[in-house]
Amino acid sequence: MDKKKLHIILDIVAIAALIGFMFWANASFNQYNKRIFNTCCIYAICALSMNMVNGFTGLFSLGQPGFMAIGAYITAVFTVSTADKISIYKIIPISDFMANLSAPFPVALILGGLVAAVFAFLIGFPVLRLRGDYLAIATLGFSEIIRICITNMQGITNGPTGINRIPSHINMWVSLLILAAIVIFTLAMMRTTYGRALLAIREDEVAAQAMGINLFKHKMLAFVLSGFMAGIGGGMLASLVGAIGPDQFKFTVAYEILLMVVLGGQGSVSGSIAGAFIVRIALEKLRFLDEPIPAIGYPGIGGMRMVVFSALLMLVIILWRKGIFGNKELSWDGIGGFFKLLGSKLRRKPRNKEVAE
Amino acid sequence: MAWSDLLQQLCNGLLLGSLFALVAVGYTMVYGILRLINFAHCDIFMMGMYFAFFFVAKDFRLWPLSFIAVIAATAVLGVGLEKVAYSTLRRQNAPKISMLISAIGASYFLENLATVIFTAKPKTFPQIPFFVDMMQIGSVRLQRLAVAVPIITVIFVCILLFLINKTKSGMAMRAISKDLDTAKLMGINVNGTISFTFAIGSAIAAVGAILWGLKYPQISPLVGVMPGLKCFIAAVIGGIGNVKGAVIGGLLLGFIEVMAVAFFPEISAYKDIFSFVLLIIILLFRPNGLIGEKIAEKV
Amino acid sequence: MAALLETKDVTIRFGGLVAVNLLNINVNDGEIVAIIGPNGAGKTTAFNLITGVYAPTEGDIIFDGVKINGKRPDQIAKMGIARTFQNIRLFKDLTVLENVLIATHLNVKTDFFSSVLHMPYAMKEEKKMNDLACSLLEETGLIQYKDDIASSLPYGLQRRLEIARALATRPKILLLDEPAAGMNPKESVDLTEFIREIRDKFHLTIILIEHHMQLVMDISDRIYVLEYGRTIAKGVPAEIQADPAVIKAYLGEEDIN
Repeated sequence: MDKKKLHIILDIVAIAALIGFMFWANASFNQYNKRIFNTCCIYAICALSMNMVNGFTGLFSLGQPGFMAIGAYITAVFTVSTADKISIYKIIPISDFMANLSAPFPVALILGGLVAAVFAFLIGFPVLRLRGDYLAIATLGFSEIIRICITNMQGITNGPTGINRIPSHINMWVSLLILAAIVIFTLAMMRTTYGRALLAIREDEVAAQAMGINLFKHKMLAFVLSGFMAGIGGGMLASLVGAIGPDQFKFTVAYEILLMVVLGGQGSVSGSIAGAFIVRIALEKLRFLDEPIPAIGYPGIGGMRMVVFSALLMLVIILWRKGIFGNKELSWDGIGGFFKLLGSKLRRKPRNKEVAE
Repeated sequence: MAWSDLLQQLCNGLLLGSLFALVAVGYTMVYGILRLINFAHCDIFMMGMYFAFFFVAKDFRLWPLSFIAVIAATAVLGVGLEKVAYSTLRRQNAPKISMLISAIGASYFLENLATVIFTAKPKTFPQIPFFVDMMQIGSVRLQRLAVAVPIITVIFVCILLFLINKTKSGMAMRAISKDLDTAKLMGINVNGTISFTFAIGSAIAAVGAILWGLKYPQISPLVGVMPGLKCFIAAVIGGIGNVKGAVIGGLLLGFIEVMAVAFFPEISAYKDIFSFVLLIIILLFRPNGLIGEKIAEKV
Repeated sequence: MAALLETKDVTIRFGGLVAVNLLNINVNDGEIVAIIGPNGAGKTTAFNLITGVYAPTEGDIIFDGVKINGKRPDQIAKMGIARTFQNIRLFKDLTVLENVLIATHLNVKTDFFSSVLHMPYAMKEEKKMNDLACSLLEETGLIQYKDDIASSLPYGLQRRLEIARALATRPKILLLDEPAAGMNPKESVDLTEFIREIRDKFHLTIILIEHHMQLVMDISDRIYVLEYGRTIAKGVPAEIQADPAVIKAYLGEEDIN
């Protein structure tokens, strides 16, 4: 029982440290770094969305960009002011109904999530009956369908130009709070019998069904939750960036999120978050690859960053399939075990030297 | 719609369908042997187009030689892809999902690489008069391509069917597609045969890429994605793993797309959606495709 | 008394192959019935038909007076038919306890949101599921492994865990697919005892597929013998042992030279 107490104390210390960090970062981060932090949180939400289906339920879905787009457009339409909307929609004027739609940011955001969830529910009927790789293609197709529709439905989405002047409601506290809410929800869910049912489907569909688990119902549950989360992520992205267009939600976004989930470890909440932060920060830090480096005569090749980045995805999957956390979560025991292992390795080293001498 | 218009559209459908069929064959061959969607096949196709762009541009008159070089280069690329992205994972006995992720990684890598090497700015595919000149058949005016492409497709598909059904390597392919482990125990050179399959699939993708480039002469790093998705869908509609199925699926998809746009021009902006809708319908009602065999999981 | 489970002329064809042909099995409440036969006789296919993995091409399967062919496996499991698998299908990466807990999910009454919000009655139900799972692990002698990963158990214990998991669905009928496969003589004697024990304790009816003849003859009330999808013999163990058709199927015909 002492261990339990220790863990609670450690939990409190960690949360206090996080809050401390937030105050410090809010005061000392510049605009650029704050933006990176917000982007990290948003992508962590999208990674959690993918992890819900790919990691926990063992379904291979690439539909995230589609759901994000839905969330983003709903949030945009509901938060951009009527006057702005009328001036933005130039080619086909916006209808009065659309122009007058308005809601506070939190309502618009949740609405975006809900509409994305409804879409997930509707497309879930046909696609969730499909086997592994077919599902990947079908969901990728769904993302593309959404993008094509957005590009062509000028009167609703303003077509390829997209919507700008979206008021920003995202700051570091808001990002962290929404991310924390989704993390707590996911962790709480995975402790319930419904969460275990999803894991059972991932482990062995045939056995899960033989044990009385309704595959379709539970897959749908995961898929709808995933759609909701991606919708929220998309809405936040719209509010952070301030301008959205169909090209922001290309299928390559799904690949980027996939890398986060795989790098962190499929089936791990801690992994998805770590993966999102690592990938987003790395993408920013790798920008130097696109710029010239005169010292070594490197001319700076536009897009080099993405080559390195996609090579990374392949390397991770080929050499390090389990990712950082495997399907485990970050825990105090795990950290303790890690340090013990590290300690024993450090201790063993000098002894080996002695033997060698 | 006048008769000549309808005939014209039928020819267009046949042309597009044949192009789809050529690329779909590559998907179906790899799926047949490894039970894996080769996500990167569309990027092999894209690279084939770039190869053609550079090789043909060097000397216009030597286009037949250039085409052979393009096909060879693309085949080598396909084999290289298999060695890097799939072979290592297969040796680790990795789960299917890892293979799929690796395939996606490879696809993403090739797209980004092409962006760096060739830049994102679209290039124009060389117009070879032999193929693109117009000709008149009765009341229908066509590019020569409209006749050449279906003929080339038929030739290549026949060669392929012969290869699969009548030769020793074809028999090895079929054996591996039934059961990889048993095939290995029977002394079949599994790795060699898989490489060979990738080489053939990529070579045919290169043929498709050249013809596609002649018909739709704009090349960009993402040019393969939409055709790739559609051709995969064509392969599934026909029954994946089956070469004849891929051809039937490709033709069907080509005709549907051309006809739908011809009869309902107002929905032409949404034409890329048809194939996905068709895919979902087919998978719901005939999950094994039109002429595919049933693959049941053993319980 | 009507049979608890009855198959009426059940037939399934895969293309040209008739895997199970006119299968007629009756199983009464509380019986232990064995299905034996050479490899490829269609025994596991018969299980797959009963549990809804395959739908029969022809014929009906009646369980407790209700027609169950055409129902999904999870529906059939809910009605009270549980099974184990020939090639052990545990949830490999999950713990022993989780494996059993998952099988209690089909009786869950709490809805999803109350469950996630950890409402008091949800927690109460969760605790009940946990207690049931633990007591089953106790009965099957696996309780000391409850936090181990399922795939780390030795083979014999994995088979036991599969049975414990099947019991957690609270079945009326338990289908065991080769429970003694890979066991040594001592282990299979234990298994015989164990099967009898759980039958009495949980008021089960048991159908088992087995190649281990000693076990089959010891434990079964009645036996069905399948060959090439057909039922070639049925009866009590003594009858089966003396049946010339069975001997022929297993040993081949005597060579008259």
